[in-house]
Amino acid sequence: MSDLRPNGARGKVGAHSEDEGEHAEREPQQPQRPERELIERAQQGDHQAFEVLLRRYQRRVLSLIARLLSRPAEVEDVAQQVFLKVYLALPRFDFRAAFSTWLYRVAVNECYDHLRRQRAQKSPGGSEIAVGELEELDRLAARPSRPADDPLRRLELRQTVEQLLRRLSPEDRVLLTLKEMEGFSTREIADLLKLKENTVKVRLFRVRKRLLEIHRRLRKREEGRGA
Amino acid sequence: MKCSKAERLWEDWLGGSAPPELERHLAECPRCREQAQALQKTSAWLALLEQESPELSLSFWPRLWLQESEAQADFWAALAAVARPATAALSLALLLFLLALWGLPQGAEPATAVVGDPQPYWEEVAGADSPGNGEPNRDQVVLTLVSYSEASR
Ligand SMILES: [Zn+2]
Repeated sequence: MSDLRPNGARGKVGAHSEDEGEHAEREPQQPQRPERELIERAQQGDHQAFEVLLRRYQRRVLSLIARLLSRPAEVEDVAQQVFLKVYLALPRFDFRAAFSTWLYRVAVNECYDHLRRQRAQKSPGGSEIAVGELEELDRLAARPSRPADDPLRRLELRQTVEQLLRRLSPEDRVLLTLKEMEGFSTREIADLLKLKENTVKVRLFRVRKRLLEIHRRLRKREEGRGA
Repeated sequence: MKCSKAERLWEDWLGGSAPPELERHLAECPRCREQAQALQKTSAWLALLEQESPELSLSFWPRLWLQESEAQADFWAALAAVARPATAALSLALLLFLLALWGLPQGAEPATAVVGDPQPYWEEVAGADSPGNGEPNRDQVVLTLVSYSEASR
C-alpha cells in the first residue's frame, strides 16, 4: 500500500510521522509526535490529538476539496463533514492502510456526494463561453510554458477551463483533478479509489478525450453562433 | 504495436515515462501523434487552474466539536430508541428466568448480581418510565416498538 502523505514536490505540509516503517523520513527541525500515538489517542476521544493529527493534512485536504468543488464558499462546509466523518469513524480505523489514504478517500467520497447533489439541483450548462477563449485553449499546447501573460486574460482562460470541467461527470472530474492538479500518481489514485492501476490509466485517457470532445463541441457551437 | 494498445500508455507518456515501443509507434503513426498532441492540451489546460490553498476560519474547530457533540447525542437517542424495547424484552426474559428458578427445588441462588445492577445507562438517556417495571406483555412491547420507530423518524 503506497502512502499518500504530502511529499516535497507537492506539499508545503511537512506531514511525516516517525513510525511508518522503512521509508519514514524525519523532519530535521522539530520532533513530531508519532502519528500512531495521535491516532490512538484520538480514537479514545482526545479532541486535541485529533486536531494535531488533522492539521498535518489539513492543507492538502482543503486544496483537494477546493479543486474538486471549485466553489470556495462550500469548501469549509465540506471539510467539516469530512473531518467529522473521519473522527466518528476513527475508532474503526485499524492501521492496515496509511491514515492519509483513508483520510483522502473520505474526502474524495464526500466531494463525489456533494458534486452529485449539485448536479441533481441544476444542470451545468447555461453559462456563456466566449469563442476567443476556446480558440486560445486550442493553441495553448504549443506554448504551454507561458500561457497568457496578461493576468486578466489568464483569469478568463481559467474560467473557461472550469466551465469545461464542470461539464464532466463528478467521477471524471475527480479523477482528472487528482492526477493533474493534486499530483497524485496513478498508483496512488488506484489505492485511493480501490481500482487497478491500469484501469485508472485507461480511464484517465478517456476522461481527457471527453474533455477534448466537450471543448470541440462548444467551440463549434460558439462559432455557429458568431456566424 | 497496435494503436489500441496505446490506451493505457498515454498516462505514462504524459508523465514522461512511456515505453520505447510507444515512442517508436508515434514515429510512424500520424493518428497517434495527433492524439498525443491533443492529450497534452488537456494537461496544459489544467495547469492554468493553479490556486492557493484555502485557509480554515477560526471557528472551524469549535464548530466541528459542536457538530460532533450533536452527532453523538443523535447516536445515543437512536440507541435509546432501540434499547428501550430491548430493555423490555430483557426484563421479560429475566422475569421468566426468576420464575423458573422459583419453580426449581431450593438451593439455586438467584442471580443477585444482575438484579442489583444499577440502572442501565440507556434508561438514563431515555428518561421517563421504564418498561422494565411491572410485567410487560406482548402488546406493550409491540406498542413501544411502534411508538419509538415513529418517534425516531
Ligand atoms: Zn497509432
